[in-house]
Amino acid sequence: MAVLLNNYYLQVATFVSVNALLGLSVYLVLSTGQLTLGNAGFMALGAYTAALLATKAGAPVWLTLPAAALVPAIVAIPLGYASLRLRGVYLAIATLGFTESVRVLLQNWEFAGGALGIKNIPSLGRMVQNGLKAAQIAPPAGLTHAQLANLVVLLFVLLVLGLALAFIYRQAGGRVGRAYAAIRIDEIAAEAMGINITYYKVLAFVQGAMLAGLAGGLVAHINFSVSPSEFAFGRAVEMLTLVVVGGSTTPLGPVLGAVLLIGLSEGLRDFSLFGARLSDYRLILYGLLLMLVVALRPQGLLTFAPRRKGARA
Amino acid sequence: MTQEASPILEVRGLTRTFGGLVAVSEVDLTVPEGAIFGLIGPNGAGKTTLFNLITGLLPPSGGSVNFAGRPITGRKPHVITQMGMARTFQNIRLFGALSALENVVVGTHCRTSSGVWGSVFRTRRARAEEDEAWARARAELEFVGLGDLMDAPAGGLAYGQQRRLEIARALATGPRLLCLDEPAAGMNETESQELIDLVRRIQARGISVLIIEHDMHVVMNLCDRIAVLNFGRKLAEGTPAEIRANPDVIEAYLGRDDDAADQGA
Repeated sequence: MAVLLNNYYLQVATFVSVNALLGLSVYLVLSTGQLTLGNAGFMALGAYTAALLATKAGAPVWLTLPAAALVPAIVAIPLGYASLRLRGVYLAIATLGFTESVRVLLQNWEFAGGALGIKNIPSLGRMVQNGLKAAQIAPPAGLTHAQLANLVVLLFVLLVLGLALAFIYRQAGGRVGRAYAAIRIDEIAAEAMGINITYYKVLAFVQGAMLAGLAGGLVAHINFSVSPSEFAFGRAVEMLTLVVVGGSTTPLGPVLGAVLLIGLSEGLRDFSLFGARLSDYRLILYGLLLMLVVALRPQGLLTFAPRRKGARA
Repeated sequence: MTQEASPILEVRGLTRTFGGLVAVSEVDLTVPEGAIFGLIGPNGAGKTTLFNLITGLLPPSGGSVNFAGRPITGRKPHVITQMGMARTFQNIRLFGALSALENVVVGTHCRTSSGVWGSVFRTRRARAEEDEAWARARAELEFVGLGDLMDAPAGGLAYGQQRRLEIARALATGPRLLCLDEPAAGMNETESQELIDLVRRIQARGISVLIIEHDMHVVMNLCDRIAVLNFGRKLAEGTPAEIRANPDVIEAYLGRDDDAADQGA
């Protein structure tokens, strides 16, 4: 047990869960048929919101995390109205432009540390550890304080992931989810059913931004530090890859994608090729995987298992 | 709602150009409340364009549309649907991956109101509304005769069934005027007879019907009034008997030398 709960495994599992949240943020927007690469930018906004509030204002976590979700949502409303007139690859390019703009702005924002970013963000692990010590709770036999703290952080992130999944499933089963599905399948028919397609596209876009921002806030509090380079093009593509590989028709797809891709790149750390660790070729690998999936199984690995209300005939 | 004087739909001087092409030119229509109004004309006469102008899918280049006494020119399609006008499509546009029943439930969207909060937390009001929406959808499927195919994926239904499913979905929006774009296309004789019965039952519910149709048997049997479109202009308007006897219509449809004997019922 103690071996399985070593700090490295716990951190990888936490990292996988955060990436699952990021995948879900893309999934939400995709569930209205819109392809966005802007969630890396929203993640950056969330991460910086949490980091700045925590380091400059000394705000507690229960305040920085909601703010990390709220600020991207506020930005997403006008951005959504402006950009969701575009479709398909044009929308992807416009939202990628947003992601890159955020990165460049942060890089040049001296108050937020410029290219170096923000350091010494209060970490969740440290907070838990201090809390445990203050409450004089001893870890169970065989576990260190750090392990217990990492375990608590993992459980917290899993809780957030579980809530996000529950939210998405519940929403999909109701009126809003039906509107999303109708828009994804046929916008014109959806409009003819009286569905305000602009409203629901923006709603999904904002929900995606909130989730990406929340994940960004979590990352800031898990990693101690944030820097603009974490939220570049590569991040946007990685988030999309999780969804495309895992499956974009069920919320479990992005979760599977996160487990596979993050697991893969972590597993490759121990191997090297041409004098570099194999995990450094991660993006190349993602690219190959993306091509393979699109060519062989375009619907992604996991597909939607119909779960419908039966006709009570 | 049986004010005979007030029309459900009033179209005045409606015009639409695509570049230099005039697809619909100065068309006037008046659909009386409760009527079944037919719109016929040769292929490319501008019937579907006229439909798209009325239902808001296309903005007109000129003219006006009044629905139930209110101007709707230039309004968005979803607003027009919310006001009580529903439509079907010539090239069927169902949500193919959803079940027949789910398609119809989507149609209840504009008669329901629960949002994210209600969906996620299943509030009592949202649950009651959902139950009502699903019951309504089942009733509409029964009404069009698809009661035993509720769980079938819409994309897998036979052609005629898909057309009836589109009608059920449109009815679920709670329309006062139903616009049908070639509902009998691709139907055999039995099916088109069933369609005639269905449209009559829709009329009996107090819903006015505007119908584009090529099948003359359907049009002549069903419609109280018919307008004929040719080259984007209204060529004639009248009762089925008047239209059948109109020499201009016969010429537009059949050419100068042809015989019109096989037209009509």
